[in-house]
Amino acid sequence: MDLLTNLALGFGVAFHPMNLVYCFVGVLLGTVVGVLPGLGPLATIAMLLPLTFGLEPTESLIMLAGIYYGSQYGGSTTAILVNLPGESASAVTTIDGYQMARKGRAGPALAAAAIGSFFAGTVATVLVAVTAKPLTAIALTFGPAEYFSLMVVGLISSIALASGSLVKALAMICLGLLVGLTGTDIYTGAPRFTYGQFELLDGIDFVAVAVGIYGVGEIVRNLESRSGAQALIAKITSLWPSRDDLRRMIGPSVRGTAIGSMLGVLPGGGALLSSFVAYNVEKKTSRNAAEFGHGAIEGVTAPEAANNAGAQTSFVPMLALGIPSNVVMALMIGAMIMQGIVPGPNVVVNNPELFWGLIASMWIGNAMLVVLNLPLIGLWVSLLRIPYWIMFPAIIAFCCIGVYSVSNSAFAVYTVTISGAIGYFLIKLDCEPAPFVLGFVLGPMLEEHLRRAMLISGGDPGIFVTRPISGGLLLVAAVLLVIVSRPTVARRREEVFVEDD
Amino acid sequence: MKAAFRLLFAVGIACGLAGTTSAQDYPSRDITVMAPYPPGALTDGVARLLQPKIAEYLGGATILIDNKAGAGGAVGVGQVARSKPDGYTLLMVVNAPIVMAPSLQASLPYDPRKNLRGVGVIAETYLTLAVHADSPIKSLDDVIRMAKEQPGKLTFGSAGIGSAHHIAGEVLNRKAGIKITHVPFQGGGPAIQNLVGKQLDMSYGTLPTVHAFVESGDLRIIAMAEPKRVESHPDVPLITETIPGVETTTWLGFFAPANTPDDVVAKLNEALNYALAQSDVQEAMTRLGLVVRPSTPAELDALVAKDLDFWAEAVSTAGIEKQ
Amino acid sequence: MLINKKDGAAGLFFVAVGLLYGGIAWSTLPFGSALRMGPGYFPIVLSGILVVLGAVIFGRSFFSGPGMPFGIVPWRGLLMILLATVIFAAFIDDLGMIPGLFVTTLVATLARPQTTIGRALGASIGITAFCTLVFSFAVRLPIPVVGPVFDGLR
Repeated sequence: MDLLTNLALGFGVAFHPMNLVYCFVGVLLGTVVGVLPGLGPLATIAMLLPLTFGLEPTESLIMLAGIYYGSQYGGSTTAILVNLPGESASAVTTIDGYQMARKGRAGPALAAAAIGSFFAGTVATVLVAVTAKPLTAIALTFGPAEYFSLMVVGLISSIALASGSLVKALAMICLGLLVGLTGTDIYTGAPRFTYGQFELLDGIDFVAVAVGIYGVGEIVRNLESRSGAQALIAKITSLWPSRDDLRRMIGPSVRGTAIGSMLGVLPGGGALLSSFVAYNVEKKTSRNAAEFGHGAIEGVTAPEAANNAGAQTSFVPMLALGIPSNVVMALMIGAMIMQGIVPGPNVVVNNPELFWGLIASMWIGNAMLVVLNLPLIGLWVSLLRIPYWIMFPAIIAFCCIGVYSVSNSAFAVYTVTISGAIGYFLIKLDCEPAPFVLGFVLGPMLEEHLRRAMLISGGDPGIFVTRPISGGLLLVAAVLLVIVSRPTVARRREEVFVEDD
Repeated sequence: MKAAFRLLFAVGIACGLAGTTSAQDYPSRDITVMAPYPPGALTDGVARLLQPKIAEYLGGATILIDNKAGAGGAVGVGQVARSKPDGYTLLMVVNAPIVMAPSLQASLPYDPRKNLRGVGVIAETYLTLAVHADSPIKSLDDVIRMAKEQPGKLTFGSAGIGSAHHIAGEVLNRKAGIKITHVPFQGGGPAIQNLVGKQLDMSYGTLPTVHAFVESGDLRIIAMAEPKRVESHPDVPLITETIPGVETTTWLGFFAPANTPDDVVAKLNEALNYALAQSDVQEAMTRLGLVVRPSTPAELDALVAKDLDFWAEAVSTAGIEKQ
Repeated sequence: MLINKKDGAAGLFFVAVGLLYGGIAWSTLPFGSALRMGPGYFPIVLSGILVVLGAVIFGRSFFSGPGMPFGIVPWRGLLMILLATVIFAAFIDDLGMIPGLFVTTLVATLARPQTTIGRALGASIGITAFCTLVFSFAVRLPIPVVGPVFDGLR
C-alpha cells in the first residue's frame, strides 16, 4: 500500500540521528519561547532562519516545525499558570486552565493539556499522511462565501464561551468586532478608526491587546488583595490527574482532535476557530456543564487537543499548495525557498523524503514534547511559588519586550497600556474577555469575506445558500442559534466564589 | 530554578550566534538594516539572504535585520528616512513604498526624492496575468472580447488596493474600454489560491507565486504586465503589445538616508554587488523568482526618479484616489 | 430602588462606544448599500447593535438586583503598572535594554505598596539581568543593550 511505503520512508528519514537531534532542539526551543510570555514562535523562527541555511533542508524544516508546535505547547503552560495567552488559540485555555491552577490543580491541568495535545498530535499526523491530498482539494473549494458562513458558525458558537450574562457576552463580541475593524479598509483603502495614527493603518496588534487585557488586567486584579499577594492559589494537591480526571479527558480529546483537524486545514482563522468551537462543543455536550468556567478539565483538554491538531494539519495547505495558513507558515515557506525547494503542488512528487520525513517527525516531536513536559510539570508548578513581588514585574518586563519585538514598535506597547486599563475595568464590570477576543480576530475576516463574496457574485446574496458547503454551514449556524437561545443556556449566572476582600 | 537556567543555556547554545568583531573605520559598530515588512515577507527573506554576505564583505560586521512593519512599509521607510545619515541605519525594500506610495497615500512620513539615496538595485521580478487551466480564456484577446460581451461580470484578483496588480488591472480597464471587476485580497498568495480554486476568472500575480501552479497544470499564464518580454518566458506575450501602456515594474532596492557620505554609500554598493555576485545567492534569488540586477548608486536614484513619474501617471489613468 | 451599578456602568459604556464608533463611521465613511457595501456599512450596523445591547444591559440594571460589589480599585497598582509600560514604550530605544528595563521593572515593583525598596531594587536588577541575557544575548533582539543616550559616556 502506498501509504505504508510513504510512512516507512518518512520514519526512516525522521529517525535519522541528526534529524532526531534537530527535532529535539526545535521542540525544546519552542517550549522555552512558548513559556516565556510575549515571545512567540514568529520572532524565534525569524531569528533562526539564517542559521538554517547551513543545514540540510529536511533538518532545518524539522527543527522549525518543532519550534512551532513546541511553542503552541509551551504557550498553554503560560495560559494555565499565569492566565496569559501568548496567542489567540490559548485564550480559550485560560478560561478553565487558570481556574484549575487557582484551585491548586495546575498539575492536572498541565497534564491534561499535554496528554490531550499528544493524542491530537498522533491522530493528526496520521490524518495528514492519509488525507493531505483530498483535504487540500476541500480547502480549495472554500471561497469567500464558505469562509463567511464558517465565521458565522464560529461567532454564534462563541456565545457559549460566556459563563455569565448572555447579553454582556453579545455586547463584548460586538465590541471586539468593531475594534477589530480598525485599520485600512481593504476594498477602498479608506482608513477606519485610526484617529490619524499612522501605526493604526495596519490594524491593532492582537498580541498587544491580549497581553493588555489578560496580563495587565490580571496583575492589577491580584494587587487588589490587601497583602498584594497572588490571588487565591489553593494548596497544590496533586501533580497528576486522578483516574476520574483521565476518564473525563477521553471524550474531549477525541472531539477536540476531530474539530481541530478539520478546521486547521483552512487558511486564515481555521486553527484559531478550532479551539473556540471545541470548547463550545464540550460545554454544550458535557454532563459537567455547570463546572465550565470554574476549572473543568474538559475545558482544558478539548481546546488544547483542537489547537494542536489544527497546528499539525495547518501544514497541509503549506506543503501541498505552498499556501501559508498563518504567519509562521509563511516563514516556513521562506525557509523552504532558501533551501532550494519551491513550495507548491510538486513538493510531494519532487521531495518525498522531505514531505514524509517532516510528517513523521511531527509525531516524534509530539512524543518528545510529552516526555519533556510531563517531568517538567513539577518545575512549572513550582514557578507558582515564586513570590508575587518578583513574579509580576517579571511578567511586565517579558510582556513589554515580547510585544515590542513583534514589530519593533513602541506603539504596540502603548496598545498594551490602553487595552490593559480598559480591559481591567470591563472585567471589573463582569464583562468577560474571551468573546471580545474572538470578535476582535473574526471581525475583519467576517467583513472581508462577506464583501468579497458579494463582489464576486455581482451583488447576489443568493451565493451564500446556493453554494452547497456555504449553505450547509449556515444551516449548522441556524441550528446552533436555536440551541444556544434555549432557556437552559440563558440560565441565570450562579455566584462565582468570592474574592478575598 | 536550576533546570530553568539549564534551559536558558540551551537557548544560548542553540542560537549560537557569533559575537561582534569590527573592522577599520566603517563599519565600527552594528549596522541595522530595515526590512519594513513582517518576517517571512519577500523583502525580509532577501534581506536575510544577503545579510551574511554583506557582513562578510564589510569585515565581519554585525548586521541586524529590523522588521518594523506597518502601513505597507511606510512606517519602516519613514524611520530610516529620519535616521542619522551615518551608514548604520539602512533600508532594503520593494519599490512600492518608494515609488508607488507617493501617488497613493496623502500623508507619507517621508519624501523619497529628498530623504533617501540609493545604494544599489538588488533584483527585479515580473507580474503575470493568469487564468485557471480549465478556463475558456486562452489569450488577452479572449479577455477583452468576453469583458465586452458581459460588462462587469468577469473578475480579476489583486494583492490589494494600490498594488501593482490593481493598478495594472484598472489601467487595462480604462485603456481597453472594458469593465472587469476588481477583487482585492490581502497579498498576492490568497489571490492566486482563489484563482486555483476557481473563485476568480483571472488574477494578476508575480511570476514566482504563479509559476509552481503552472508547472502543476492548475494555472495558465496568458500575458505579462511588463515593458519587455521576460527572458525565462520569451513566448508569453505582453499586455502592452495589445493595449499599449499596460505595464508595471517590480524591483527591490538597497537605500540609505539622504545625506549618507559618498564613500560609505560606495562601500555599501561594493558590498551589495559582492553579495549579488555569489553563486549561492543567485541560485536562491532565482528560486525566489527574482532576477539579480546589480547597479551603481546613481542608477538606482535615476530608476526611482523615473518610476515616481511613471506610477503617478499610471495611478491617475487607473482613476485610483489618494487616501 | 436597588440598582445593579455594574450592569448600569457596563451598559452606559457600551452605548457610549457604540455612539462614538457609529458617529465616526457615519460622518467619515461611505455607507454604500447591502449589495455594494461601503467601508462604513459594517461599522455602522455593528455600532447600532452595540448601542441596543448596551441599552438592554442598562435597562436590566434596574431589575437585576444589587449583584456583587464592585470592590476596591488598587489605584496605585494600576497607575504604576500602566506607567511602567509607558516608560518602556517611550524610552527603550534611547535608553537601551539594561537601563530601560531596569527603570521599567523598578516602577512596576512599586505597584505593590508592601514591597520594600531593597526588594524592589533586587527584583529589578535580577529581572533586568535575566532578560538581557535571554533577549539581547541569546535571542539577539534588535534593541541596543545600552542605548544611544549613553554614547557620550564611552
